[in-house]
Amino acid sequence: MGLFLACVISGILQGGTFALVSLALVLVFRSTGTFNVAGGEVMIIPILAVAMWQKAGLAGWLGVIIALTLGALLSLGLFFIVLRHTIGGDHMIGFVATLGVAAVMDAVISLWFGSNRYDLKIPGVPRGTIRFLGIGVSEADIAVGVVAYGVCITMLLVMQYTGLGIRIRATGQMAALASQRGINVRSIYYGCWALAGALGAFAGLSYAATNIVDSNTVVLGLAALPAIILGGLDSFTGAVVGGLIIGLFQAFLTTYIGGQYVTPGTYTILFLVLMVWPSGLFGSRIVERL
Amino acid sequence: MRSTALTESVEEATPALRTDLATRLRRQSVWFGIIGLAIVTLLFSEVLSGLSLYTYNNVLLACLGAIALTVLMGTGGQASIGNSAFLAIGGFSAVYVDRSGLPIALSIIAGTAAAGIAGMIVALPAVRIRGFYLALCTVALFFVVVYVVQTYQHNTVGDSGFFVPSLFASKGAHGAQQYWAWLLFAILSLCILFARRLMSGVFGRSLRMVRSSEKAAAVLGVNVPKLKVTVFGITSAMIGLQGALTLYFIGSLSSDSFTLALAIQYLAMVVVGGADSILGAVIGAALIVSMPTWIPSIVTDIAGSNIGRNDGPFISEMLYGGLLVVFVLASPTGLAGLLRKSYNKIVNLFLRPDGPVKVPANVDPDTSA
Repeated sequence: MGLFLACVISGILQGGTFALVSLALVLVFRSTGTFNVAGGEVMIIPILAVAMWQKAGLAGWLGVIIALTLGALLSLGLFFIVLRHTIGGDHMIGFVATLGVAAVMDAVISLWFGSNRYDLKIPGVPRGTIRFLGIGVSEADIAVGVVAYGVCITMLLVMQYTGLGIRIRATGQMAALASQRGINVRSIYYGCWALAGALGAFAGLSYAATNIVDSNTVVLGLAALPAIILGGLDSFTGAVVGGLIIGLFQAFLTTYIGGQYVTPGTYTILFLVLMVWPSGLFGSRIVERL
Repeated sequence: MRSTALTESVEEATPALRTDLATRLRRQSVWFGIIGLAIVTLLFSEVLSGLSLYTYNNVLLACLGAIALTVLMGTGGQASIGNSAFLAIGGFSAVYVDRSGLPIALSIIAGTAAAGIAGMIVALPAVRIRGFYLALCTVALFFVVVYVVQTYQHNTVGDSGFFVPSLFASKGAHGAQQYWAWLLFAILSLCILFARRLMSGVFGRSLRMVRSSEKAAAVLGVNVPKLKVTVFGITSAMIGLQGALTLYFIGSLSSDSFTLALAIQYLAMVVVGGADSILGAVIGAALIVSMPTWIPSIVTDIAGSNIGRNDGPFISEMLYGGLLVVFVLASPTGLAGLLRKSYNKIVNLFLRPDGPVKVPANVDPDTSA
């Protein structure tokens, strides 16, 4: 029972990171129709940079602010330089372009950070352990999980109920009509990409709070793919629920079957979902006809 | 009435086309390509040193995968970033058969067949989904395949990887490369002819129709699911052949060499060279495979010191990633498209007896052949 509970808790917490990454990717997909394969790179570059600068004396909350800003700027730059030109075209063009960007960014990461491993220090993360229903859970995990899901739920509420959320969804559905109704489509595009970059960096922070990071952490962006597809590519709720499910799945796989099966198991899920149920849990069916 | 008029106009137009020297040359362009390749191979195998010839052979090998991808993606419109997965399947199936003591030819055939079957399995979702959903399927395949081959390698020989006696080892280092150059030239020529056959005729037209609109293709009598499974099977088999040949060319095989970056490299070859064009695939493969050999020296020249030697691979990764972005955004027909345009211009200037002719934009001489 203790083991089962530990699985559930660690799965939920791990799922928080996936949910944040997925949310970032769904946000840009909903607004500009781009599937950003370079999401993992946008997430990890700010984290590694801040971790490196921490070694050089950067301290405190400034690091967190710099990471979020850097993520937003990186994402914004990516949109401004490359993906701005793919709007309205075939989704495939944007997809291939982000693959090229991912290659460039991977090379930058290798050149800049090499194979150094960093332990990012985030202020305010508690370092204790509490007993919960008979098992020990680290306070850091709980704090990170609460904040991650807090951000996710805030995002969902903003998207669903505020004027901003409605404007973003309207822009994504039909930019021409949205702009005729007085929505500044361009600023929505830029805003969404910047927000997605910041969300990505935040996901990176939530991972780095309890893990060692290095240039290989970039696969976390790809690990969010199954979560996004399972939840439904164009659904914000789907991104969070998909992240949660994949997190739980990986935790149970690790504990009961073996850690080496995590990657093949997760991608088998991706393959099966694509084969039998491409629109996912919450996605709209129209996505199938892309 | 209208149909008769149409027939007449076609009949009127046809003789004019037939007498057009430039068009006739174009239709035979595949033979010019192969003759050109033979001349280059002859030249390189006599002139080049062992290391440069090794690079040339690598280019010839990569051409197989790039041509397969251009048929699949350029002609058929089926996105795939599964090249490195199929390469791994080809290589590891070959090594599996090789270790059971069967002859080399059999293990190469086994690698080809295994990759072809895997390709058909990946195509199953392609029956229902399109675009980058399909590309995600190939990513999923990649991770599963890498896990399987890693486990197999770990359980049989350990992390250092497999070693097989490389082919033609008895001919000496340089001699072996020469033999390989001619063997690969022969195989590549056959594959080019085969790909040419696939891209033209009914099969090629069906593929392009599926690329443009699956529904329209189905209405016009194309069996879309069957076509997708077929084209995935054939092209994956070709990539598997490349994987199996690479095993015997290099003489070693390790799961570490099959990365997602490798698959992006093949995508870059096709996009930079020009999708839906064999020449484009060859140009792209030559450019991108040879990049790591000439980039370091250029970087060292510019930056001075030794920077280039260590960072060469990363700088070439950056370069092909950047090229991929630039070409996919700005030039969908790639380098081959630029060549074709200039060819048409030159032909218009010199070969037409009645002066420059404006070719209608919607007529593609490639597809009308």
